[in-house]
Amino acid sequence: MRARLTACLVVVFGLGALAVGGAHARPILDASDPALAGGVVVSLPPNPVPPGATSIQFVSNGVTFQFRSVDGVSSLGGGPGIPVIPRFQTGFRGVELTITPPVAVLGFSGVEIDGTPQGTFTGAFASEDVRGARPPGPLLPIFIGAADIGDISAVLFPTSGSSAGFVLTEMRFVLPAPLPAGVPVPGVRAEALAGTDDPAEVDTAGDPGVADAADGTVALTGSPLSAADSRARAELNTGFVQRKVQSVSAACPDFNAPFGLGASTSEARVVQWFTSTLAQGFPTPAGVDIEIGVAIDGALGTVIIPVSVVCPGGCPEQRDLVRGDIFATVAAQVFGYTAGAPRVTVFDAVATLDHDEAQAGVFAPSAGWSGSWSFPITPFYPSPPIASPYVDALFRQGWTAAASVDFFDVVSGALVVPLGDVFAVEFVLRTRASSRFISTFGSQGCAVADFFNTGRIQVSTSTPGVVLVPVDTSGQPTPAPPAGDADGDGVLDAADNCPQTPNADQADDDGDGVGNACDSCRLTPNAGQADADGDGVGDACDNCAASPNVDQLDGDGDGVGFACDSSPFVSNPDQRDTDADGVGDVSDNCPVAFNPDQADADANRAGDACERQVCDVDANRQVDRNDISAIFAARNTSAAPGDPRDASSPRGDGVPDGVITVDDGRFCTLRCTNPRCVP
Amino acid sequence: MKALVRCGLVVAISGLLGASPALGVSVSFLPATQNAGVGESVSVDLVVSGLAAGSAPSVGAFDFDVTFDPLVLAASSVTFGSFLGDEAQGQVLTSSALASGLVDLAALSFLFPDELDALQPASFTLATLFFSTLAAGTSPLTLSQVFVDDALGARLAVDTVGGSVSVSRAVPGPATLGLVGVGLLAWTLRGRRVRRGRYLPPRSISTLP
Repeated sequence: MRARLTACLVVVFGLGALAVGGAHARPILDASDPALAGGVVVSLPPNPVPPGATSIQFVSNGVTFQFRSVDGVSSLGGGPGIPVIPRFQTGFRGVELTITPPVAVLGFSGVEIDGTPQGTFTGAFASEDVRGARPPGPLLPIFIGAADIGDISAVLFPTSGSSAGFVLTEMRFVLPAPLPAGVPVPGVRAEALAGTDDPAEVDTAGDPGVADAADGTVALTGSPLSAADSRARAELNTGFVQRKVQSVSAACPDFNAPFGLGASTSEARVVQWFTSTLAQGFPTPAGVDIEIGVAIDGALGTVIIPVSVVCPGGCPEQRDLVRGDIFATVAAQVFGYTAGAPRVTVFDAVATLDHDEAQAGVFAPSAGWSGSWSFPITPFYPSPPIASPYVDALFRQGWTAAASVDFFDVVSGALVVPLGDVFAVEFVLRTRASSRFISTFGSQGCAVADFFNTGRIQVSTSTPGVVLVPVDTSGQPTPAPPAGDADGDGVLDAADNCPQTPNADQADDDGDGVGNACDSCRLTPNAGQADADGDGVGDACDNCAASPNVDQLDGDGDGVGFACDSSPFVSNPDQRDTDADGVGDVSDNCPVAFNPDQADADANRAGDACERQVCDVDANRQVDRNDISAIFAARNTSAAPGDPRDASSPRGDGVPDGVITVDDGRFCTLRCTNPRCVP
Repeated sequence: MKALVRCGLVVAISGLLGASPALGVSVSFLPATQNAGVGESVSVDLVVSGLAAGSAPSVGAFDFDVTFDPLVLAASSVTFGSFLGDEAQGQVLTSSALASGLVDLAALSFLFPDELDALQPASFTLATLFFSTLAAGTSPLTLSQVFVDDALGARLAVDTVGGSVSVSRAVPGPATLGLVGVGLLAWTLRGRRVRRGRYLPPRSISTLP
């Protein structure tokens, strides 16, 4: 079967038994989606499928689309509500579509037969389960597609039956953006490609927190070569700091509107051109094996979500204050190519963070606390209005998701180039992240995400006698740095304020004798460059000198980094922590008792440690027969202060007297949660 | 003689006043004294009195020790009264510990105060203690560590009255006493006939009326 078979494609795929996992997806449910603008439109008329066919293949614009019955079953027949037309029968496992080469955006129009059509689109960075919106009647056109998941190479149309399905009538796809292959470029080039609201937030200079706009340049480090070390290095960083604030309508009964970042992608690319030479005495090889290693590390993501609550009618007590999830991938791709030739994929790796969080309570008075809060009044708890200590306690429930990836791989032999030819190695680093949060109290929320990744590429050859040499635009080898100038920036090491980092300008803003390019505190003098935590940020300017935190994130702006802040969401420059439980007083739900877990069983923002009830011996938040029995068994023994068994004195006045007696037992029976003290 | 009577009245009145607690509640043994032979079983009730039937104060809990002479008595068991609630229905917690010369017993009611008030009469048995007698002698029964709480968990002022159990080696039983009585009667009748000059030798004791 060949390309011309487009005319005979009718695909019916059934209703999916697969659960929708595409909370992070960017589905396309409209053929007019801008992502499809300028794409290719392929009409798929319902012409007959040859009897017995289990696969159909056609080619459009150089892209091969192959539909295959997953279970190999093919039959003819109609379905409920549609004419009896020959079609591709999917059986129970559905139809699998493979796309070669992958396309950037893909979608299908069709007619829904019964149920909700859906497809799982697999891209380079993620798989998206896209479920179509079912129209109110049968035989109405519907569209499903996906984008922003990397190049799409496969789609699975699941089915749960033989009759229900979705007849495809049209396919739309967008080819990947053309590559700069074959275009002479400087010996090394870095560029930010996509994905930020503000290009100024792109940082490829390897100084997290300082965007390129602040750096003034897009800088790369590395790539000096010497005859003794025939390796090239390049470092590439992608990252973005993106802030979005989205207001959500505040009607209490209807506050389940999502907010958050949505999906965002940042991408950067570095291209390094090389040539190769052969040392004397070595035989001429048939080809030069190029080994390419890639390492990616760094914090994958940190999200902080301050939320302010507005419930005009008063909010019911609710523990799930904010629920949400975060999804992020970092992908590294390495391509090799020679001028004018198609590029070859050498390395392709993806690391994924998929952090689903069922519950998170994040409130930020500093972001503007407002509204009201109500609590049920119980015999043992006061009925406080929202007051500072409680808000602070909420703060402590702040949720962060952070993960790191660190993978290193070397692909050998995947790229073989002729000796002496100019070739390029392209390294692409993408960070894609999405987050979605729902405030169960709704109202206003903002999410702050910080994803930053650092990738390093190393190129070498194992072919005997071959030395790799970077070349410039003209294809000429880059001059080797002179002796005594290790970084080749024209400043001899003896006088270079960054002898290992090229910095021809020798800029030194803080005047400490260490150039900006290699200064761990560019604006704070620190000639010794002390860095106790080894995070690359000097102690003199590190907001967590003892805790590695490359991002220097400081959510509350108190000068103490998130990584070591005893109250990361509430400013507390003094870091006071009276009970030494690691939770700063300003956020501690029980500042006077050691409770690092901040347990708060009833979610009333007063820690359990601070409100253990008298009589509640087993601390299960109720007084019952078990507690009374424990008191009764311990009668006529002494009690330490605070012992819940010492509930009263012989006067029956509720004043502990230091002795556990039957008086306490009887006193507590009158305070049982349930009648007869039933547990 | 009048002076002696007057003095006695004063002592008696002052004693009564001194023994009366503020609420007039007392715990005592019933019977206060009793006799038994060696190897027999005896029981004694612990009775609280001085309450107000059907109203406060009522007893919500109690805890006290009963001490006795371990050479004379050995505690064998304790049963609790039902006026603090039905133990079978989980309305009351009870505890008893039997030791040599000591019984520790306590009870705690889960009933509400109004339920206790309605349930309890002015006087009722808190518990019954069972002893076996070990040897001849008299063992005092003494209450100590007495905590009696009202329904609200406040401790009541309680007067305690001790008791005793006297144990003898051979205590005459009813049959023995009957035989003695018959003997005395026969001896009396015989004396009368002798005095009247008519002496008829008895045919047998069993024929006597």
